[in-house]
Amino acid sequence: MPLRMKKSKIPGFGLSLGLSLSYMSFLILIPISALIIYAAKISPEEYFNIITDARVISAFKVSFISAIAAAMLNFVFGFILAWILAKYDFFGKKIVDACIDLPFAIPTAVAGISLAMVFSPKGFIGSFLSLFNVSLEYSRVGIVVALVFIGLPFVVRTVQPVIEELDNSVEEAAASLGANYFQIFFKVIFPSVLPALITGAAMAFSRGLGEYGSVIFISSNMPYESEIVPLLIIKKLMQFDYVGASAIGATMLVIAFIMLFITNYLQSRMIKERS
Amino acid sequence: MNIEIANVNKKFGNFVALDDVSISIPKGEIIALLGPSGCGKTTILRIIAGLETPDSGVIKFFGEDFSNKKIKDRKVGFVFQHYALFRHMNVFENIAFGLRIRPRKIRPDEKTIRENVMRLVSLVQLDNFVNRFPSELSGGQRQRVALARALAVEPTVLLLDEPFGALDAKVRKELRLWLRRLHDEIPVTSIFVTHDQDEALEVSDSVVIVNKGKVEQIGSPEEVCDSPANPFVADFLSDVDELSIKKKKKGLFNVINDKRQGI
Amino acid sequence: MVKKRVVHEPLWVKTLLFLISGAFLFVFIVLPLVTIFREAFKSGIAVYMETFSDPGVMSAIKLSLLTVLICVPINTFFGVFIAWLLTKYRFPGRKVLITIIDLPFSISPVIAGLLFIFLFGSFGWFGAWLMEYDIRIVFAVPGIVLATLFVSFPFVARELMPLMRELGKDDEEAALTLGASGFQIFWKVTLPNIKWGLLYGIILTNARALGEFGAVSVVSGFVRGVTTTMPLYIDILYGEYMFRAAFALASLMTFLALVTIIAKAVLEYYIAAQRKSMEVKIQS
Repeated sequence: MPLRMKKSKIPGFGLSLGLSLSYMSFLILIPISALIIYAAKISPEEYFNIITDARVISAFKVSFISAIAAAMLNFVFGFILAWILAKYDFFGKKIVDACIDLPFAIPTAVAGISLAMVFSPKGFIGSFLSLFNVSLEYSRVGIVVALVFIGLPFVVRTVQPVIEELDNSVEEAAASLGANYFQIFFKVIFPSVLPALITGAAMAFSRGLGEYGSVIFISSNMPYESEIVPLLIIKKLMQFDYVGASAIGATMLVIAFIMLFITNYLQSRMIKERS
Repeated sequence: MNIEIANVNKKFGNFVALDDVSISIPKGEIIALLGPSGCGKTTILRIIAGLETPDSGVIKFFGEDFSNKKIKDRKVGFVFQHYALFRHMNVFENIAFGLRIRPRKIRPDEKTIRENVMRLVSLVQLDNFVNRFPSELSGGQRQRVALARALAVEPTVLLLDEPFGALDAKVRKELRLWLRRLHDEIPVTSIFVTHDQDEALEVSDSVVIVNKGKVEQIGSPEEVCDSPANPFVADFLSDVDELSIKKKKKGLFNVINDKRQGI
Repeated sequence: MVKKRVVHEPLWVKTLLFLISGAFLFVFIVLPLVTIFREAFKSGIAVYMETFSDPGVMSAIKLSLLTVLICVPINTFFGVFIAWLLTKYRFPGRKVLITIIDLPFSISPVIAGLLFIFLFGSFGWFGAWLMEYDIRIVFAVPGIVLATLFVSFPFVARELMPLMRELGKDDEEAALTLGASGFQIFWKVTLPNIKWGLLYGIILTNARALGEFGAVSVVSGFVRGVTTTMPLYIDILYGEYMFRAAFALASLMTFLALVTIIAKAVLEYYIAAQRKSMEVKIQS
């Protein structure tokens, strides 16, 4: 029965609308407009100069490339982890499943110093790598390591339920038609998981782009080398370069809006496909 | 007349749910709103309850205009299609809910609440289930709890939305006979929505046939069957089991027998 | 004749997947966890305990607790109202509001902090006015609270909304026809239905509020013992090469994070059980 209700009779609409709107305006909309309006006062040429400054450009490059690299790694590892969690029962599965949420639960600063230690020449991985004269600790790779850690749960938690809901009979039907395992996987299973995988990777990328806490401890934070955009904003603030900070900040804000729009779109498409 | 609906219109967006609907319901009768799904019958029920506001038209209870009356002041008992039992409350608390939430001044004391609830519990034959939770009951039992809960507030009218829709065929047949008998015991004006012709004809005193938001015919089960007002009604009732009307008359007789047997 | 078989990857693929997963989790989850506790306890329990007698550490813990005690109730209160608004009613602009809820998640924490600098800083919108009355918001505790409110805002509403949507409006309408008022409906019908989901949202809010670093570090000003929360103090200690103390404080926060994920797993179990009972209810 089409019950497209315009007005619900449940009381409290006015109260909850009023409270929600005031709080969201106070906490989110007004602060965002404060930054945007401040940045809007900058003349186009000045904005262009700030954004095309070599140091700013290199920071954007570092941030983008690291976030993309981390999202791609999470695309692979996140899928494998989600697959194992969704398809197999094994000893300690509950613990592994809970551990996936650790990057959500652990403070970024704690993750940062811990990863820095693990990958430092004194640490477990670092000492192993230093045998080959490789140092991750202060290279750009360190940034990627931190972002892989931070982004992992986004991919796993988006993909896992989709794999769980996969209809086994489709695989069996393909098998009965004579397909071998890899044909089944790449022609039947993977395409139905791919939208979720892309959504999860986009979320991980979006998060990685803005990540600060876990990165700064493992990266050398060298300008032109391994300085990420959030760090550059903080440095500008410390030098009282508010115009520069607001210009870069507003740019990041716009990128965040676009990413939010993209991930929302991907998610709604995913939900449509699943239902 | 107990309840009167006059010239009610309702749109959802561009969809015309109700088109100039007028129905009068005599006190103490049991009325069926019968029609194919999507025809607007549930909307009529929700408008009487106050869960929906009509775009135009009047709802009268005992001649008094209730169109702008708040839901809680209408004193309707509503039995939802999926029962909407409060899953964190046991059977007793579910039935007592309507009494417990009254403002202190008009709230009955604990003893009265207990008596009322227990009386309803035995009326719906769930004496041994008062401490069970909804998840521990069968579909038919939940249905009866929902009914008892609605009756607890002593409603002026009882509204039932597809009361048997979610039950399997066997339980459905048992329960509709039972509902008919129950109505003879507590003659509260009742309106129920159904898409099942047999059900409507067997249980009700009169049938309102609704299609595409319009009332096609109102009459007793015999009338609508014997002289359908238009081709739609004739077609809609064409595959009705003629027995169901006769069964009802027999059903009334059965009540007396059953009572003697203590069921 | 093709034999019917249950589809499984070949054994070597399965082995490979488990090996990769194991290695990945070892490097990214096990090693960091072990490292935190190993570094914290490297010089014995006595040295570990010493960290917590440092007045700076103590005041950081106190400030973190204060922030959580303010932010979690406020965000819970408004989160419930927002979830209620967006699931019980349809109105124009509803979709926009749903998108706005997600904004604090998609904005970099550093930008989140920056917003409040431009709102309440000396050159910001309210800067001059605040100076006149000698009210400090940024580089003071109120700024930390505001930034934390911002970043931990979405959790409660986001956890509740899918749950409340699934629950539908039947229970509320039933209570309404039985004569309940709005508050009675909320306290007696809605809240018992959503309690596990709400608790889940509160736990996530709490974890984020406690652990936030980026946003808070922008508005903090790092006045030692005054505007340093636990994560900020870890940063200070680490920067001063006091690794033992930094990891000691980090181990406390890690312990809390582990409690959080255990609580989360337990609550997920309850929520799944509730979902199941809902399905049964509708089917029968």
